[in-house]
Amino acid sequence: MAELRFRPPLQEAAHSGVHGVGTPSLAITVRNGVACCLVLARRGFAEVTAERLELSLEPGRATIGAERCCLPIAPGEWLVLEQWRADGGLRMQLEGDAAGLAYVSDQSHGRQVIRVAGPAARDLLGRGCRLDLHPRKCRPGFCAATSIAEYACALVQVDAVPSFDLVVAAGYAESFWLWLTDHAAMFGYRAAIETVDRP
Amino acid sequence: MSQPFRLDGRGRVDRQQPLSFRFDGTTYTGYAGDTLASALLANGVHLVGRSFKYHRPRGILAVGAEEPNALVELRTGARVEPNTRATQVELFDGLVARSQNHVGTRAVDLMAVNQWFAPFLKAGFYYKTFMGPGGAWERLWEPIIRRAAGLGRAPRQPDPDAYEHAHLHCDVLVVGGGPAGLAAADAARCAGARVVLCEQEPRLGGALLGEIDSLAPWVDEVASGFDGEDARLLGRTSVVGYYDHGVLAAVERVADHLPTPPEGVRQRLWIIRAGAVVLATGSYEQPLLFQDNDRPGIMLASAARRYLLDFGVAPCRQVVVATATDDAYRAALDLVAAGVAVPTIADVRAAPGPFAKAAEAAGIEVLRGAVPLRALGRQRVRGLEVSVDGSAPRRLEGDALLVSGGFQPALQLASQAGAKARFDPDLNAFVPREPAQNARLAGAARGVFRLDACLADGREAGASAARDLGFALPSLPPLPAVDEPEERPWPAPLVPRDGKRAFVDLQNDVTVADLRLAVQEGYRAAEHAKRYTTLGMGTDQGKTAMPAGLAVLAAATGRPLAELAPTTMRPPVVPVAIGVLAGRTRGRDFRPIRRSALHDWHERNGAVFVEAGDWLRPSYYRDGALSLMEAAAEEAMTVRRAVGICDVSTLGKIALFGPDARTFLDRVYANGFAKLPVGKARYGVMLREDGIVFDDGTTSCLADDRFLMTTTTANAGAVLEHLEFLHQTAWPELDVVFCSETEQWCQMALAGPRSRDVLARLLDGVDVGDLVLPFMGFLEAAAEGVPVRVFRISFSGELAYELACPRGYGEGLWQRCLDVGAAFGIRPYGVEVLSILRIEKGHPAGQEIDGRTTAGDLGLGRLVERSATGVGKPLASRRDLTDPGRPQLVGLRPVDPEARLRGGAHLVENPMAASTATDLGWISSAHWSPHVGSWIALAFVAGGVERFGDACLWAVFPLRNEAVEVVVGPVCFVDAEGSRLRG
Repeated sequence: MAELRFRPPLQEAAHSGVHGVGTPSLAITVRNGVACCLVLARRGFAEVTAERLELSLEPGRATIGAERCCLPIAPGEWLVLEQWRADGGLRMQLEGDAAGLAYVSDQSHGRQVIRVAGPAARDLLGRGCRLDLHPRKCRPGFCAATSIAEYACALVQVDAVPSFDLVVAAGYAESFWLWLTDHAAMFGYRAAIETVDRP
Repeated sequence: MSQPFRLDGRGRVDRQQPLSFRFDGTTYTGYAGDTLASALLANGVHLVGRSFKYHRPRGILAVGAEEPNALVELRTGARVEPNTRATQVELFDGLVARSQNHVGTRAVDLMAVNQWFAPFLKAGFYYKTFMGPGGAWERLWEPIIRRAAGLGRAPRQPDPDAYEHAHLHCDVLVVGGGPAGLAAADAARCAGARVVLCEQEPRLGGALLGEIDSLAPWVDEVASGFDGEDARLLGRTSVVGYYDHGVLAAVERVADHLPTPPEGVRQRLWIIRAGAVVLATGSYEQPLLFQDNDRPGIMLASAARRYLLDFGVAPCRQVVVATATDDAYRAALDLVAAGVAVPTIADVRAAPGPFAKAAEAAGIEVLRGAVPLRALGRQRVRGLEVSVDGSAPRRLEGDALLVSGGFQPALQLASQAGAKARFDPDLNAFVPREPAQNARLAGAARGVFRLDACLADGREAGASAARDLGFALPSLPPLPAVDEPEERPWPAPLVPRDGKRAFVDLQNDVTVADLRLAVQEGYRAAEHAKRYTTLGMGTDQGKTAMPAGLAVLAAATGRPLAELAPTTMRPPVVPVAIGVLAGRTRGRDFRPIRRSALHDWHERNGAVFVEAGDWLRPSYYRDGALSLMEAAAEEAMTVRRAVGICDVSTLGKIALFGPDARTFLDRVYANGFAKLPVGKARYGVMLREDGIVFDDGTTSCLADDRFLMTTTTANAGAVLEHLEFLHQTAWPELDVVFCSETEQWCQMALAGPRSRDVLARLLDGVDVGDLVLPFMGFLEAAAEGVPVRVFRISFSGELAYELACPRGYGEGLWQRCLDVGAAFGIRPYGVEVLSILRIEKGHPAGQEIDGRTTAGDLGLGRLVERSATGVGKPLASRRDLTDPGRPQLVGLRPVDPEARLRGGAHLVENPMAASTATDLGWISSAHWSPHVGSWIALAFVAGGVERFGDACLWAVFPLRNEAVEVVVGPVCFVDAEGSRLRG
């Protein structure tokens, strides 16, 4: 009898280790242990939802806490990322906190988070991202719902290394991974796959 | 002797690095730092190819991107690259190059016979000469002309190299690394702006590389500032297009100078977004017009000077100079200093500039008012005939002829930036006006030709670009001091009386006579004459043809040159390989692939995939040696007799929340949703505003304020957009929010009479009987603690369920179904069977909901009539959409059970008289049905129901010359009363 074990989208495509040319100047991490929810404020409740959940109302500016990262991706809509604890856990917590103000759609299985970190991160993302990621324009906390090459992607700069979290649809994750690592090869990269203790 | 024309102690090539290369099978040597052109000249090779139309022998005219003649084929095998300018090919060891456009050798070209037919091949000849006899154009002339036309041969094998795209942002983009560009880039960088400097050559300097004093220390100092993210130098990079809103495209030749690209890419397409742009693109020296002005050995004077000073190459032993500029005197004097004989300079001007005296002091005879008449020689120039002040022709002997007709600013990018050009009578050149975009022109690109002025102009352009963007300019170190004597201007292009064999456009073989003929035939406007003669339409974009061409047109139409303007210049400025435009979007990466959670399982288990948008879906599963039809029949019969399982994760899933979600759905769908109870699903038909069916699917009520809509796979994105549009524009007052949950859920259909048995054993302690989970019911359950949504819906007409679980558990649940179902004969089925089953059941899909059909056409009229509201309802009642004569959806069977029906076949009463006039409808979907035992089809037929039982219709398929007699009947071929699905 098979077990209903969690199987991440990049189970077969991603391989940890050093890849590409020369000394790695990039670290690429498959973040399997991230819970992800979409918070959808009801009409007229965006500001109070933001206040209640400590979300940013400023487009392009994410709130990054010790455990939670919240990206405003459309008026009254936020993508909330947090370390995975239990299936549906983040959704239930957010639903409780925003009861009557917003609805929450659990996307923890529908999105794949990939972290790209290192001095060459901007150059790598520049192969497909149309946004200006220069430090003058893009500091930690910068976020956008954009596209990288042909892939819809939510992007957030999490620190000054710089490190970027890229959130892509699970169905496109493998295709995007191949695109990303193909381009990363010329910079050299170290791939890591985050394991998560899901049932 | 190796490199007989290489001069000792001259040039900047690396003599310590000799390189070997082959041209037309002969091995030559050159040095690191050479171009293919400079290395060929060093070896005395002047004849490098044949011209486009007349196959005239051609040599090397220029030194850079403007080269119209020296187009060669590079490399071998899959890396063959035709039509590459030898002047821009960096030499590397082992380079293999071939001349182009000849039958035989480049010296003995059989196609040169075209020159004898030149009187018949003049401008527009193909429009006139090959008019008849009737039909001969397609059969005879066009194939011949197509074979003869074109230059190089395209490679036959797939390109083995990799290309990529990249995006770059900057405050100031400087195009051109010559004196003006360097000064501009340096100023903008010093002001603190983020600067990108693009230079098409491997070295900075531009025109300075053709000078004795190339200001190398200053160039190196400026270059040393460009070493980081804020000041970026892109060498070997040609900016090829200037688009709206400060977006420019540039091609970086990353590895073209290497035998084979090492790791990584060969070329990179940069898409640059710049706050301001400085175009310091320099100017192109122009040749002179006279008979046979295209002979090998005729070279622009500035090019000869650069070959001498930069590459240490003399063009020949004895040079004749024909000039309208002072600049050619510099070339002559430098050549004399290098030991090359320059007996005569023929200056078209009566009063040359200050260099004339220096030339005469160096022993050069200067002919004033000397009009060049005709070049001597055939495969190599042997001299020039000139007429001094109208006197009898005089022959000047020489084995190279340097020409200089003036300088023309490079207008291409400025033109793309919206700067129209005007004729400047003082400069006798076309200069750009103000660009429409935030671009500045600097240096020779705007007609500032003196070096000291170029430097100052560049600095001002860079500084003002930065200043306008808010950067404060610090004090800058002084620019290098240069001392240049005043030069006399050159005259407007001289147009010879006899225009035959006087080539204006060398690449496209357009002569003065061709342009005069165009004017004679009414093509007086520059844009018209260009198209009629192909002037400036070669890959060089007429960089050495434009001013002279306009001068010919002006003279032929009796207008002053100032009344004419250059034709529109479009990207790319220089030829660009298709590969770099494609970048990575080819082969596997041609477009993104979307995979369901079960993709890997399908792959491991023999699925043959079919594309559905970006998704890859299993078409069927390989089963031993069974064909698609046989495998599909097996899968289909398993569903009808036992139980099958199918991945339906690709269907769009939209979650709707809010107290007004129900109202929203009631308006979005053409049938009512106001009373859909919690725990139930309903089939819905969505119309476009014009009343045509847009999409269909089931929507389930999870709670009073939570619904889950499913859409077809193809329309998932479009439906979400449709909902967004309606919510934002039509009903913003509704308290509803929604989002896609397609990716969150893995969904599988469990279909067949034993599906309930599988389900009962799968779920944790849930009763799945009819009372708890009736047809169109919904419940939330769990399997081994994993949440599972169970929908009792059926696309196949069988007892069926759809199970959805969070994507990450999808494969586990699927495998669990298979394990549990093994006892009941379960097997997976793909979309091929999905299609068979739904045709058997008469469910419309994409082939029926094709953007032309109404709910009535699909047999859903009564369903939508019950609801008074809904998008598209008002226009759905239009007369044309409710016409009873519209084709209606019916089922078809062939009279002969063995006969095959085909999608796309048309239905007629008499197959012998099939035409659009007798057309009664068409087959939208057809498949062999293992259940029925024959081919069956869904079709749209005029008259519809009235034809039931009518065996007088024929399905004709002219592409295969087929006609099959068919019987019209109801759409449903299986379980019409629905007892199976209600189980």
